Amino acid sequence: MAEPLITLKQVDVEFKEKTRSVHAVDHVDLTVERGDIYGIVGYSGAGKSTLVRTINLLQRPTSGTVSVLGQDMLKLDAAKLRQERRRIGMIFQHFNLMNSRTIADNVAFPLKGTKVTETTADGKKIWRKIKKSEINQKVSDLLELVGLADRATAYPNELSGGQKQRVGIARALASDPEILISDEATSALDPKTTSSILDLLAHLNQKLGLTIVLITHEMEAVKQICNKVAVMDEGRIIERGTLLQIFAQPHEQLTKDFIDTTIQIESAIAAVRKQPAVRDLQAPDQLVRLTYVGASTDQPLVATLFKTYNVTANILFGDIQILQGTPFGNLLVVLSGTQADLDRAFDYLQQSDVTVQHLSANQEGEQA
Amino acid sequence: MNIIEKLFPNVIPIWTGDGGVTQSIGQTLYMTFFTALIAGVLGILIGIFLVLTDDHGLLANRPVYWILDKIVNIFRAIPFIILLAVLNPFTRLIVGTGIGPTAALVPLVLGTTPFFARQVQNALLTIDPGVIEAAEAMGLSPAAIVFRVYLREGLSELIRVGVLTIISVIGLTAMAGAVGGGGLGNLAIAVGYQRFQNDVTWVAMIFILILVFLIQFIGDLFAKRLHH
Repeated sequence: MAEPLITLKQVDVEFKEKTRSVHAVDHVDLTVERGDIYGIVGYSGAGKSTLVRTINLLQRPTSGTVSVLGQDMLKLDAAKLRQERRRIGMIFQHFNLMNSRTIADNVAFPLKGTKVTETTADGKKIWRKIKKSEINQKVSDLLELVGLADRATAYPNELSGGQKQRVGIARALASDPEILISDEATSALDPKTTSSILDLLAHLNQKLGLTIVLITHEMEAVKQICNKVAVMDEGRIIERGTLLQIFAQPHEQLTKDFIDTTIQIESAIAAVRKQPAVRDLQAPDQLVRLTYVGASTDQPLVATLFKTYNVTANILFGDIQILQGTPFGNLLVVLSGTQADLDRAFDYLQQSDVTVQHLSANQEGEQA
Repeated sequence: MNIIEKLFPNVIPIWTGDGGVTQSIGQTLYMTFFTALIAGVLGILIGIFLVLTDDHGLLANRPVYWILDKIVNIFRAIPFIILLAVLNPFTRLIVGTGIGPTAALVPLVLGTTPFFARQVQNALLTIDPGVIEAAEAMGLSPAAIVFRVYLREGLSELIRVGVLTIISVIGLTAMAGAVGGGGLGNLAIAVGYQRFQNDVTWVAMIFILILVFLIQFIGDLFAKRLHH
């Protein structure tokens, strides 16, 4: 079952400067389970980077506890901490490759001088230094995995951004980590490259069972691969849940803003309201937003409304996304019919697990 | 041969022998080499510790940084010719004499080390902190990060500041020569200038220029090979 790999409890990070102190992370609790691709989304300065840096203690929290892979990280001595860090890979916005080394050498970098276990003929496990041939083999496997086998002898400056990030990923995977922290890893890339890097991460999550913590300010990235989301603002997690929960029922305005960057529902509502058909709407006709998740999208909703309830649905905006393999639909429709028919139709929609949000055209604000 | 005799009438008689041209060249090379070696090692060490103990460093330590920083600043602020004089008793104490190329090494090293340390610090600070952070995240120890990241990534920059420093050392050896260190500086001043033998001064200068260009050339060659 779901095993928590990362547990942050009441983690707090305060930067004290001469004249003021900055509360970068404000008593955050976070649990990431094995196999998760956990998206942490927020604007820059929200504390995302600082928060994830407490996972491998690149940033020591001012207070709170950090438990990763069953270890209380704050209790480890320096040598033990370095060993634990090898189990947590990290990739960065600016790739952070070493320009003086080739691609292969960059990937080999974390492997050099490490130890591997070997089972001897009499069944004893011994530690020995890794062999050069083993490093070479591993490096070529990793470059194969990220699709850069042919660039092994190139230098980072000869690669595109997307290729550099692939090298970053290969390097992060060299020590066989169970967790990968992605710190804005796609933020410096164009949309197409971003998408291919995200696909690679999703592939690694599936193939290697890699647990990924992905921080980003792009909801599009979260939508593409994350199964869970936390929204951060001013050092706090203001909302969290599964991807579908967050998309289907966002509570905080910031969350809605982020979702709107990818499905533009809020701006669609604003645009639809300006249309004459909506502005001059006569009661009992009304503008509603229908939101449905999963199975209910398979039903011929609009047809049923008309056939069974004599309610016509004039679709003004429609959007269907596939989130985590589940359809997630949003429709803005004007429903027309008698008040009685409409009431029956709303009952039917509710029974079909379709969320109805009444959007009054004449008033600002929304009614539940 | 005739032209050379005409152009450098005073150089030919003192080409060899005590205080002669070849010996002076040897002394300049000796002072430059050992100063570069000793000050090079010390400067790299101090430079590394300045970077490590800096507020953003891997071993951030305010008091240690403060002390190193102040020592470097003070020694850099003392004009070299005054440092020579001030250090004279100290030089006698450790070398046994205040005169000659070996005695000159003491003020040369003390004058060069802080200068080079600061150059090393600045060279290492040009390395992207993100690369250091990545190495830290990979579980490397501070010592491993120094050797495998700082010195490696900073190598071409270190060579650049190394060449700069060696060239300034050659300048300093000339000054040290003037107060008894020997070398081409001594030749130019004690013989060429004071005996009005301008050709000797010219020859001393030409050899110093050759030395400087040679070092610059070798340095550029290395820097080019490292550039990717």
